[in-house]
Amino acid sequence: MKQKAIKWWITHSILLVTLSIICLIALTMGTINTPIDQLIRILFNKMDSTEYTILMQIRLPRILVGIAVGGALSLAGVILQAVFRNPLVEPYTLGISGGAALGVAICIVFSLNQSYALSLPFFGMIGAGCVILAIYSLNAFGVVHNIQRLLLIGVMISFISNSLFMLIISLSKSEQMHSIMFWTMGSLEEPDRALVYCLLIVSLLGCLITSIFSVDLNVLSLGEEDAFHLGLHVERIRNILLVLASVLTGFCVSISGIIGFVGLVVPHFVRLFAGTDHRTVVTASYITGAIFIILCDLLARTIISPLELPVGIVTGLVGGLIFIYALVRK
Amino acid sequence: MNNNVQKQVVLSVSQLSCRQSSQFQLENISFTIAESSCVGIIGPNGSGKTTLLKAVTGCIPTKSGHIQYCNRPIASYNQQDLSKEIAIVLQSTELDQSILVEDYILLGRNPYRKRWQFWESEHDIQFAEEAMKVTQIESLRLRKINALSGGEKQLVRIARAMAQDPRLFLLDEPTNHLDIAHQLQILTLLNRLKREKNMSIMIVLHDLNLASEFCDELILMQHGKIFTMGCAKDVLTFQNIESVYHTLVIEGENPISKKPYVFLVSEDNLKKSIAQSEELEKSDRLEKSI
Amino acid sequence: MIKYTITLRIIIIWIIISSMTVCFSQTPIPNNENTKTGSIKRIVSLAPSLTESIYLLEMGQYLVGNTIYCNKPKDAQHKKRVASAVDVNIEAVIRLNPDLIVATPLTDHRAIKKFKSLGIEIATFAQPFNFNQMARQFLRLGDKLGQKQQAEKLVNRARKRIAILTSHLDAVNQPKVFVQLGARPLYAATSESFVNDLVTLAKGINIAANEKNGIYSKEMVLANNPDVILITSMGMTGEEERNRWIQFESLKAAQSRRIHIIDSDLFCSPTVESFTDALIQMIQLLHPQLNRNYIHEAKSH
Repeated sequence: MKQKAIKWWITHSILLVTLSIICLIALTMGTINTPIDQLIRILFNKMDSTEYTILMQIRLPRILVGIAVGGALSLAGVILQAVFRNPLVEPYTLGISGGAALGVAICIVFSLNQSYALSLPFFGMIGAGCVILAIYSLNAFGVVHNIQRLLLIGVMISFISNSLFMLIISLSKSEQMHSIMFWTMGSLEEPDRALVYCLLIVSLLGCLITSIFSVDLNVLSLGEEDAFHLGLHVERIRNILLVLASVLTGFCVSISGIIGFVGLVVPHFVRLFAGTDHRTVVTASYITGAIFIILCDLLARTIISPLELPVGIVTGLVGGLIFIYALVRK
Repeated sequence: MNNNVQKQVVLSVSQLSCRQSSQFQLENISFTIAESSCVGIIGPNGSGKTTLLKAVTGCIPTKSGHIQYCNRPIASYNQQDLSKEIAIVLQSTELDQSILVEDYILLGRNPYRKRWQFWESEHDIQFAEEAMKVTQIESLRLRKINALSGGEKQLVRIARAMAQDPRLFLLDEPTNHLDIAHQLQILTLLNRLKREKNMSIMIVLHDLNLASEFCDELILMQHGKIFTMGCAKDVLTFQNIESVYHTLVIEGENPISKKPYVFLVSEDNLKKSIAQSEELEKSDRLEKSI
Repeated sequence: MIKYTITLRIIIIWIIISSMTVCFSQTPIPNNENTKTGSIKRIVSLAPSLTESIYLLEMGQYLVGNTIYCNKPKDAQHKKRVASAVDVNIEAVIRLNPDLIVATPLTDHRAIKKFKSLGIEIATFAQPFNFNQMARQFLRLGDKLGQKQQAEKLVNRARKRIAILTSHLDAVNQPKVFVQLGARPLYAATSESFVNDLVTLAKGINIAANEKNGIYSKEMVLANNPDVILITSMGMTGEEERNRWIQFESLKAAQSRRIHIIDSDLFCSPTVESFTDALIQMIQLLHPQLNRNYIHEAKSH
C-alpha cells in the first residue's frame, strides 16, 4: 500500500513540523516576548538569569503538559467516537470528569491534601477511577449488553457526580469553593516535574497503544455485528479501548482540571481533512490536539496580559468558532 | 437430503435450538449443506430465517444442538478463522459512514490481518480488486458508501463479503429493495460463484419464484421450525404454501427453465374466477342440453 | 490471542505505575526560611488585605506587584498588577524579582508550589476572622518584613482603644442581632466572620453565631426575633433586602425600624487600624441610647 503509506508520512510530517513551530512560538511568547535569537542565546548559554528560569521552569513545562493533555484528550475522543459510533461523544460524556471533579472537591473540602501527604491529582484519579471501574464492570460482566445503553449510563453517572459536586460546593466555605471552581476551569500549570514527565509518558504510550489498535477501530466503526463477522473480538477490544480512553481522560482531568471541547472537536476537525481511516486519524488527532491546546494556552496567556484566562474558556470559544467556520466552508 | 454423495458436506446442523428472547427462537433445526450448492430459506416474516443465519455464524448463543462446519463444531473455531470461511451479508448493515468503497471492501480482508500488520498486503489488495470486478462495481470505487443507491449498496456489501474469500456464503434477503435488473444480476453472480469457486450458499429469500429458480434446495420455515425441505417441486406445493403462508397459489412452471413457479391469487379474484368457471359450466351444460 | 494478553498486561502495568507516581507526587520543597529580615526590598502581595497591612507597616514603598483588586490605599493602584482573583501570572511575578511574596489560602496552590520550587520565599496568611487572629497575623507579617516594632505599636494602640470602648459597655442590655451577608440564598454572619467579633465586643448577641454554615432561613430569623438587623452593603440589593425585612410586622427590628445597612468593606474586612472605627459604629448602632463621649476618648489615644 505504498501510496497510502506515503500519504501517511506526509500528513504526519507536516503536523509534526507545525507542532514544533507552535512550541517554539509558545516558548517565545509570554508576558514579555522573547525573540528567537535571544531564545537561542539563553538556551545555549544556560545563564542563571530570570529569563532562563522563565523559559525552562515556567514555559517549557506548560508546553509539555499541553502536548500530553491535548494529545490524550483527542485520543480519548477518537476512541470513544469510534466505539460508540456517535459523533457527539467526547471524553467527558462517560462521567469520568464528573468523578474526578467530585474527588477533588471532596479532597479540598475535607482538607485531605493537607492532613495526609497525598496530592490533589491523586484524589482526582480516585474519583475518575471509581467511575471507570463502574463503567468497566457494567460493560465487562455483561450486565449491559448494548453499547448505547452504556453510553446512557455514563451520561447519568455524569449527572449524578455533577449534582454531588454541586452539593459539596454549596456546603463548602468560600475559600474552598474558590479553590474547587478554579481547579474546575482547567489549567496547564503543574509545578511537580515528576508528574509532568509521568503525564507525558502516559500520554505518549497511550498514543502508541491506540495506533496499534487503529485498524480494529476501523472495523469497529462498521458496527458491532459487522465487526464480529469480520473476525474481531468485539467484547475484548471494546473493553481494552474503553479502559484506555478512560484512563487517559482520568489522568488529564485529575492533573489539569476540566478542559472541554478538545476531545470532541479535534477528531472531527482531523477527519474533515484527513479522511476517516483511523490509522491516520489517531496519530493526527494526537498531534493536532497538542497544537490546538498550546495555541489556546498561548492566547489565554497573552490576550489580557498580565492577567490569564483559564484555558478551558479559550478552547471552548476558539474551538467552537473554528469548527463552525470549517464546517460551513466545506 | 444429500443426493450427490460425492459432494463434501460443508455445513451440518442437527437439532439446533435457540431461545434467547422473543426475537430469537429456533426449535429442532436439522439440515446439511454440501459444497457448490445453493440452499434457499423461505418462510413468512418472523419464522426465524435471519435467526438461523446468525446462529450459523456463532453470533447467537444456542441452547442445544450442534452446528458443524467441515466436520468440526463451530465453537472450536476461533472467531477470526471462522470469518475466513463463512461470510454473511445482512440487511441490517448500515452503510452510513463516509468511507470510500474501495476502503470498505478492503475491510473485508480483516480476518486475514496479522496482529502487528498496519497496512494491507498486496495479496489483500488483489482480493479486493477481484471482488470488485466480479460484482462489477469498479466504477464506484472512489465513491463514498453513504452516497450510493440501494442496489449499489447491496453490491458493495456482497463485494465486501466476497473479499473475505469464504467457502460458505450466507445472505439475508439480498434482493430486497432492488429492481429486477439488479435482482437478476445478484443471483446470476451467486450462481457463478457457486460453480466457479465451489462456494456453498445459504440465501434467505422472500420471492418464492426467485428461490425456485436459483436454489438447488429449499427449506420452508414456520414459527422457528422447519416445516419442510427438499427440492423446489416438493416444497412449493399448494398445500405447503397454504398451511404456512395462509395464502392461495396456483402451481405452475417457468416456461424457459421449467422450474416450479407459483402464481399468487387473491381471494376475491379466486372467487370471481370460480364463479366465472361455474357460469361457463352452467352455460356449457345448458348448451349441451339444448 | 497471546498478543492480546500481552497488550492487556502492558496496559495494566502502565496504569499501576502511573497511579503510584500520581499518588505521592510531593517533591521535597527546599526550605527557604529566609530570616534575613531588613533586607526585604521587593514585595509582591497576592491579596488586598495583605496590601493594606503592608502599607500600615510603612513598607508600601517596597511593594512592587499586587492584584487587580488591591485598591486601598490609593498608592497601591499604581503598582504593577500581576494577579487576578482567580490566578497568578507566574511569569510576571518572577520578572519582578521579589524577595518575598505574601499570599492567602485563596491563592492558587499550584502557583505557591511553583514559587517554592523556584526558591522564592513565600508566606501564606490565613484569613482571620476576629481581632485576635488578625493581630497575630499582623505581628507575623511585621516580623517577616522587619517592622516588628511598628506592628506591635499599632496592635497595642488598637487593643487599648478597644478596651476603652468596651469599658463603657458594662451596664447595657445585650440586644439580639442578625447580620445578613448575602441574599439569595440568605447568608448570615456566623462565628467565622469579623462582624461577629464586632457584635460580640459591642455586647450584642449574634443569633447565627453557632451555625456551621452561613446559609440561614428566614423562618429562623423570625423565630429568633432579633432586636437589630444589620445588612452589609451588597450594592443595590441592600436596600431591597431592608424593605423586605420591614414588611415583617412581627419582627421587633422592623417595628422599631432598627434595620441598618453597614459598609461591607469596613465591617467584613477591616485592618488593624480600621477595626476601631468599625467597633465605634457598631456600638452606635447597637446602643444608640449611649452617650457619645466614648468616641472622643477612644480616638484620642
